[in-house]
Amino acid sequence: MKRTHVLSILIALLLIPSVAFAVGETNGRIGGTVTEAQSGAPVPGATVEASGKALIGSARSVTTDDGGRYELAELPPGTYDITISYAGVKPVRRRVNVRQGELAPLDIVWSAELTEAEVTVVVEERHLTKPDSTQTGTVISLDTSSKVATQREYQDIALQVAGTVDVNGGGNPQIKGGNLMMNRYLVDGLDITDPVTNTFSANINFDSISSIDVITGGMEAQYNSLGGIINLITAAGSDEWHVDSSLYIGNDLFSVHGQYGSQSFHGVVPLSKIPSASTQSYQANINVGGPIVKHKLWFNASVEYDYTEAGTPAGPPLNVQGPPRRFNGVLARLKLSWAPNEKHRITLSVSTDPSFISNTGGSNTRLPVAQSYQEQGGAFGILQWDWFISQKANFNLQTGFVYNHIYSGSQGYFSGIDNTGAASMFSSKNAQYNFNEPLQQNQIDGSIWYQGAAANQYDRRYRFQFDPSISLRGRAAGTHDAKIGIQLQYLADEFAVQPTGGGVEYIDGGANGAPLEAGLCNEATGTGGCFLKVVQQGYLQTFRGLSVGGYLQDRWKPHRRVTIVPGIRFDYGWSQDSAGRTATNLFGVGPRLGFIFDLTGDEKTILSMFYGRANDVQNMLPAGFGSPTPITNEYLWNPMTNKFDTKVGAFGGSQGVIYDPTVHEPPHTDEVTASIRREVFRNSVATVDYTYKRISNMWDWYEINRIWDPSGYRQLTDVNGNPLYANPALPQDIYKITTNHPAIREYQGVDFSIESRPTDHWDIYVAYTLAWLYGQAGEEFGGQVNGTSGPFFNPRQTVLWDGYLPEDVRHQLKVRASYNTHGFNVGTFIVFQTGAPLSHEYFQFTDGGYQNLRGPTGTDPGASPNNAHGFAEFRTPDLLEVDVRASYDFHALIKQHLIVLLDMFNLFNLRTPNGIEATDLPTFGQVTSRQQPFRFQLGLRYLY
Amino acid sequence: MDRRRALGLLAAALAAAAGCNPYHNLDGDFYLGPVDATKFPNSYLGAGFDGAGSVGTIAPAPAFVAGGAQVIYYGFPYGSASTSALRLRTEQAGTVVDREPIYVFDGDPTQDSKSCSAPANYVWDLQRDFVRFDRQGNVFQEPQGTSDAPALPGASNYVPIYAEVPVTSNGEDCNSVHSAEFLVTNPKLSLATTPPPAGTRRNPQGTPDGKYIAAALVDPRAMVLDEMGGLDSNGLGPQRWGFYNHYLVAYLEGGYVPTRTTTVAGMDGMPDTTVTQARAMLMFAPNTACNPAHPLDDTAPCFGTGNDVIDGVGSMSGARGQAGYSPVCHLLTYTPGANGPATDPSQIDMSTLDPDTNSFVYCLQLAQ
Repeated sequence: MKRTHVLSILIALLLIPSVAFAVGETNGRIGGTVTEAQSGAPVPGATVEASGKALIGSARSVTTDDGGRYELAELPPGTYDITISYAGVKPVRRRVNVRQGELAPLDIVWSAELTEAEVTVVVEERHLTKPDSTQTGTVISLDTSSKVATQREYQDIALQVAGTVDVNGGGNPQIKGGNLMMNRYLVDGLDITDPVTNTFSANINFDSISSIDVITGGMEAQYNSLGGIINLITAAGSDEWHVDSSLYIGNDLFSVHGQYGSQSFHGVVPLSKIPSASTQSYQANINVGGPIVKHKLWFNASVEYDYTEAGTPAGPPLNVQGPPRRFNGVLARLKLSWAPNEKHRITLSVSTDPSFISNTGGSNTRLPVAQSYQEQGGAFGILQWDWFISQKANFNLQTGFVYNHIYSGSQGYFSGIDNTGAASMFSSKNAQYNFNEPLQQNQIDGSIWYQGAAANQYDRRYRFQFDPSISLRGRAAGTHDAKIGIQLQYLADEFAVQPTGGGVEYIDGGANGAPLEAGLCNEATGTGGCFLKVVQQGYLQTFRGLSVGGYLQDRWKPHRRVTIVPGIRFDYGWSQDSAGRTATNLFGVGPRLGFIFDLTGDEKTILSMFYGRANDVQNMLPAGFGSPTPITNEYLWNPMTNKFDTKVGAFGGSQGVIYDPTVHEPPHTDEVTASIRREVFRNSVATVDYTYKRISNMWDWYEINRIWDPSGYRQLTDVNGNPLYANPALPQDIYKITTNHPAIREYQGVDFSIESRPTDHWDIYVAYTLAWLYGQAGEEFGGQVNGTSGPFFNPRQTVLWDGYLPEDVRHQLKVRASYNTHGFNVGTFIVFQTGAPLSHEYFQFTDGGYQNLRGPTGTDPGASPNNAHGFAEFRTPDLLEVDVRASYDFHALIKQHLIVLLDMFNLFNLRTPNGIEATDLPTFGQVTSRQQPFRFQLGLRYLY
Repeated sequence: MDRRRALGLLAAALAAAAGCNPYHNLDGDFYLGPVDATKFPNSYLGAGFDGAGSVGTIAPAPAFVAGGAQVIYYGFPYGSASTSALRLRTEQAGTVVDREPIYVFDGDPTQDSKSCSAPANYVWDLQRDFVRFDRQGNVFQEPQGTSDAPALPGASNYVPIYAEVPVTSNGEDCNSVHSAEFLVTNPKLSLATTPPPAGTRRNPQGTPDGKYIAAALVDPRAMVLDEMGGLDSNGLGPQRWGFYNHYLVAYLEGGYVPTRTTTVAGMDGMPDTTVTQARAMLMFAPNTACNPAHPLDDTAPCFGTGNDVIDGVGSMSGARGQAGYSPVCHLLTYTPGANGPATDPSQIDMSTLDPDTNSFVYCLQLAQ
């Protein structure tokens, strides 16, 4: 039960949509050489000028060096017209699409004939081979994402990229072996990753995003992430006025209904009289951008309103249809771009994202009165300053703040309950919410009663970031494009807990236990399945952290065909818990080295290899978990006295957590990546990426005071049932927070992908990933993500924490494709992925929780549980989801961009289970959730 | 890069990936945690066991032996009333059905071997170590064939008696041996083995020395009380720890079982059958608070009330260590006289015995 309590807190923390050192690469580059056609000699002194709608201020120009080379750096993503001119010669013009963080290569072979022939702009988009980068992943633009049906969330877009999965369904991608708490989320260079949970902390208007760079590996030194980077660039204004407004309606009538059987092999229940919960969504957006002062000051303003309902088919143990999960949210954003002169460019933006979510607890184990609720949101502001000192040097500053909060707890406390129908089947206690009624968990069937949470939680988090950097370009044994920067962050958290039910929670399922409400404990009369009583108090914590990182990276091109990308970063992080104790004090060195070979000399066939280490020195989880709480006591039911008078456990208090003073090794990732990229035809690249990743020394905690019996299923006691502890003077749980343990995560994966825009009509991305993820460390601090206890809670169980990790998805196929012509567009996103591991979890007598394993993680012992060779992999079923968008732009008819859209989700109405009961309850193996049904939504979009 | 080279690189990458082993901890003679006792009968789970709430408690019962002395025994009824409870080994025309082996390390079944190799400077840490790593627990074997006796409680014909197979540890690491399958092929260990039957894919099996040991495998989670009804200062009971098929087992060791071997001549040309049976003590229990027609009844058994009287094999003393001791008791019920329950076999009026129901109790006394 202790774990359940702690885990519930963390799970709640994780629900916030989210650190680290990661300056965001918000710009792209255009570079290449200018040579003379006949001799092949470089053309020095040519002027290369770039102009485009995304570029505020005047056009940017550079001159080619002695080797004919040029590079236009720090260009905002977008389409640019490039003019190459030389005194007395007619200029050559090209058009290039620039993506953030990437080089758009543009080589010009100059001839008299060429200049004579140049009468029109030539479209040139051959940039997809990333000829000077080791980074894996891709950039998805607003233009691309608007052609396919999506949930219109950036987290959802990130999942379109090879090597990303989301087995938890919470919107935090797990990227190439990392878990959901290992990514960095950046918006215009500001790190908006949650300061504590390292998940995404903020939502942002989908239409205000101009492109999303998902970096899955091979990261330059400016990035520091154990998982991936999700780098968002938001839309700026321009010298032209633009309006983008849209309305999406997905009424419940547009959704297939029906109830389904409880087993994974069951289909629809054709004669079910249980009404289905509604599944519907509505969204309204308006985005306005334009000049305040032409060429000098632009703005972009955006507001989005979302309302969604997502129902879960009725299932065991309640078998009544619960209310749907309801989401209400408003996203607003304003961005100003200012170019006071050609040397300076400043952007300032602010965002806010309040949202309110009802019925978050899942509907099959809770009646409405026991539903949980969540209210979250916050604001962040970003200031970015680019100073173009010279052609060879520029300065960049990214600074800002993030505030977010999450309030969660019982639905009835925060908001009204939707009691339609369901409560009448049970006692009157379920008809109306009562703050003083204790939460009861019936372990017989997993049902939860009377409260959505044993405590309401109020969490406020803060981050301040200051990241200056200098980029230098020059020549020394080849060309160099170097960057040096410093990254400073200050983080803080305020966390308050308000117990419900008078601070009491019952865990039922004792000798007189029974399913559902009939099995609940009545302490006053001594009836029911009385087993364990948990008594807790409210508290307030504040903890903080500070980190400093410095990096140096170079892009050294000693030869036309060879690029070497060396880098190193130094990171220091410190945090303090709410008792003023130092929780973390770590230093890490992260070397990076990449080699990139242009195998065919035309930048069409690229081989890259990379090794890098990333250190996580800035994790606030230790300070969060280490901050003292009041002692929570657990009492076992005594059938002799008919009272909860046997104290069997205690945790928390000022001595409940200690920090390992010997920790010097920060959590870190060692990664080796090898990639081959080949332009197979025009604007189309085929890529094979191999990644090996090893994540070590993750933060975790050992319980060091309990003494377990040899089986590990009960804590040793004296003959009267009083638990024994290693330190008898302190009879409670004591956790030691440390990184000194052998548990690791290992990932091996191969991505095969094709990215193609062969013509303006087609936009295609196909990726297949074959991957393995295994090891002993599921998640930081003991597998909190999956609700299990982790390898170090119970030393008797440690040996079983070894196997496939929860995010191990063996096969993944993703297809994103769209075709448009004459205003018509049809786009689809298809994802197929094989099942993710679960672990059969068994009852553990001391805590009354289902925390013990009888086989390696990711397995089930099967019907013959004492057959050591008989355990089988235990996974969720394979999933296929097909989403389709069809749209028509009436521009040809009315000369206005009025677009009607039809989005169809889960086209084949596959209701494959995506949740399976894994605890050893009578409902083990039954379905806890299924894919959302087939549904469609209608959209209307107007672009000006 | 040509296509062949690219394919070669891809193949190498795939080969590397395919070589990954997700179960690092399960190499060699691995360990998988405690045995699953879900299907164990109640007496092996202990009183008060509730799968969703409480572990069971296994407590011993006192009994009287000849001379009025008191002994303490742990009683486990045989699931059905039958003399098959006594049958240990049957051999007919070379076909042997025997008890499952218990591999006893370094000669003394009454205690775990200390002849194995402990880690340097090892000090037992109860919190850290699930078993002592300066001892080697005995190993039980999973059934090898369908006709073999079950090795774990839960089957109706389970008998807590095993065929002893002596093993010499020769300094093997303590408690590194977790299964019979690895034990019999472990080159560091010395033991006699019998090849598996031709055509089977089984491992060799240890060759029993002809002795039988009573060992009741109890729920590893159970609280087992000692002879004083308590636990030691560590909260541990008198159960011992061993291994079965890579799992941890807890057991109460009841000593050697006296046996009797008889040969029954085959009829009508059938081969002779040689049967080895356990010799049982007699356990007399008063019938006052139970149904003598069903003396092993789960809810109100006739034995274990503190009034049992044990008459050892051959009417010798039934105390452990005495010649008349056997861990198998033939349960008989009687009507106590006016002076109440007997405290010595000689006090029982045999004319008050109830009809024999052929009920047997494994009445294990622990080594002192």
